[in-house]
Amino acid sequence: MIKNRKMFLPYLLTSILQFSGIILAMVLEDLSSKKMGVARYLVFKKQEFASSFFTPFLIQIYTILFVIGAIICLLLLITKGRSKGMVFSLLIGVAANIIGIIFIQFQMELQAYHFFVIGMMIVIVVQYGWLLFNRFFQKN
Amino acid sequence: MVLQRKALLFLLLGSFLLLSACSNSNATGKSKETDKKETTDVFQTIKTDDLKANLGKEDWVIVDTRSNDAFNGWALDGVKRGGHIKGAVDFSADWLKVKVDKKDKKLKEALKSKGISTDKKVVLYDANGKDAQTVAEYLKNNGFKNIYKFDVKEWAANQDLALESYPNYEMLASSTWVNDLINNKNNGNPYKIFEVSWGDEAKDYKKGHIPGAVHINTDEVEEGPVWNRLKDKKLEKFALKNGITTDTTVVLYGSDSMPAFRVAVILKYMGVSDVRVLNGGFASWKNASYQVEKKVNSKKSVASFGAVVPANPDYIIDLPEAKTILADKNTGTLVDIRSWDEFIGKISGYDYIEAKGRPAGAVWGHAGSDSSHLEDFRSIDNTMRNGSEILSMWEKDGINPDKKLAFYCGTGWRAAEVLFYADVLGLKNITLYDGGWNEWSMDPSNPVEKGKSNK
Repeated sequence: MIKNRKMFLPYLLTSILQFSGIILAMVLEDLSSKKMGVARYLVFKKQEFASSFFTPFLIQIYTILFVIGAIICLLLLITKGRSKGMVFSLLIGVAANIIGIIFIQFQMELQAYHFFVIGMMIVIVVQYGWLLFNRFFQKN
Repeated sequence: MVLQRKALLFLLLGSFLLLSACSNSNATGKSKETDKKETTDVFQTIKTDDLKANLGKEDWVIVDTRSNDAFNGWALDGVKRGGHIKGAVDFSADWLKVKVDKKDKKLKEALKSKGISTDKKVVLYDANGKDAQTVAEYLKNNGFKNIYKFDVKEWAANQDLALESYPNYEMLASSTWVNDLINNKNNGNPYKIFEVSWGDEAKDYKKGHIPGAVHINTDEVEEGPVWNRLKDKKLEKFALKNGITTDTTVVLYGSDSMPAFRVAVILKYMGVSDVRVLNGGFASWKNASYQVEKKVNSKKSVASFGAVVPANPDYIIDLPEAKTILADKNTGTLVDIRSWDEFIGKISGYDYIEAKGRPAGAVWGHAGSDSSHLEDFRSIDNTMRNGSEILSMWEKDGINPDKKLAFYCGTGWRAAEVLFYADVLGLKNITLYDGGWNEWSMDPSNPVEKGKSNK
C-alpha cells in the first residue's frame, strides 16, 4: 500500500494521530475505575459536554452525519473502489462511521463516553483526509 | 645459622606482640565506646513532687512521649487514668518511627512549634518505660542537655493530680481498643468494622485489613456532580445494606483516614450514636502488630435502621443554611478547610472544579499543602494534632469556637475530618457544609471573594 518509502513516516505519524483520541479515551476509561480524581473529572466533563457540544439535538446531528458518512463511503466503495489503497481507506471509512454510530447511540454509560465519540470523530475526519489524498495524489 | 634462627624467632615474637597490642588497643577503644554509649543512655528521673513544683514554669517543658491515643484520653499501658498532664505538650516516640519525606525537618518544626528547646529543662514522660527513653535519645542527639524522665503512672494513680482528656476522645479509637472490641465481641452488642476508601476494587482492603472488616466505597454515600451525601432514603438503604443500625458501634478506618471521616460524619448525621474512626488509620493497627486478614468479608444487611434518617440533621447543612450563617457573622462562621492557595483563589484545587475563590465572608481555618492533605490538623504519624494547638491556630485565624462553626472544603472530605476533630475536642455548635466550594461555585449568583481576607 505504501509504495514510496518516504511516505512511511508521515503515514505512521498520521495513523498515530488518527487513533490518539480513541487511545486517550481508553486510558481514561481504564483509570476511571482506579483513580477517584479521574472518575470525578469524567463525571464533571460528562456534565459539561452534555450541556455544550453533546446536547440531545447535537447528538442527533452527529448520528445523522455518521450515517451519511457511512452511506457515502459505501457508495464510493462500490463505484470507485478500484485500487487496493482506495478500497482499504473506504472500508475503514465505513467501519469508522458505523462504530461512531454505535458509540454515540449505545455506549452512553461509558465514563469516558464523550471522549470516545470525539476520538471516533478524529478517526473519521483523518480517514476522510486519507481518502482525499488517495483520490487526488495517488496515481493508481 | 643458629643466630639467624634466633633473629627470625625474635622477629616473629615481636610481630605477634605488636599485633596483640594493637588488637587490645582496639578492644579497649570499643569497650570505652560501649561504656560511653551506656552512660549517655542514662537520663535523670524526676519525682512527682518536683514535677508538680515546676509545672507551668517558663524554663520547663513537660512532654508526653506516649501515643496520641494516650494523650487524647485513652488509659493505655496500665495507667489508672487516661489523658495528659495539663500543660504538657506532645512529642510521641511513635513519630520517630514514621517513614515520611523530610522527616527530620518535620520533627524539628514540631519541636519548635511546641516550645521544646535546648535552653529549657525537658521532662519526658511515658507509661511503658520505653517511649521517654526513645525521645530522650533523639533529643540528646539534637543538642538537648537538661532531660528528665518521668513515669506518668505515678501521676495517674494520684486522683488529686489533674489529667486532661478531650471530652469525646473515644470517637478516635485506639488500635488497642479496636483489638479488645474484636476479642470481646463488644460484650455481645452489635458492632461493625469498615475499611473505607474510594472504588470497588479496594486495593488497600485486598492487601490486608483488620479481621472482620468490610469494605465501604465512598461512592456508596455520595454522588456527583456536586458530591454531596446521597438523599436520606438512599442513605438509609446504604445503612441497611451494610448492617448498620442506630445502636451499632461502627469503627471506620483506611490507609488514608479522610474517607473514613467522611463516612463517619454522614453516619452521625443519619443517627448512628457510636461512630468511631481509628486514630492514625491502618498504619496504627499495623504498627501495633495486630492480626491482619486478607479474606474478603461480605456485607451483612439488616432489616431496620432504627430511626428516621436523619436523626441528627444539624450535623450536616446545605447551601441555604450556609448562606444563613454567612448572613449573621455575630453568631456563626463559615470556616474554610482548604489550602491557602485554594482559599485566596490562586487555584481551585481540583481537576473537576474550575472556579477559584471562596464564598464571600468565609474565614480560613487552615488545612494542608493541597486538596488531599491536612497537615495542619495531623501529626507526622497522621493522628489528630494536639487539640490545644488546633484551637490556638483558630484563635489566630479569628475563629471563635463558641460560635456556630460550619466547616467546608471542596467536596466535604477534609472538612468532615476537621468537624470530627472539633467534635472530639468537645465543641458543641459545629456542622459540615456538605456542598462546599464545589456547590457554592456552581451558581454564579453566589457571592465570591478572592485574595487575602480582612477577617
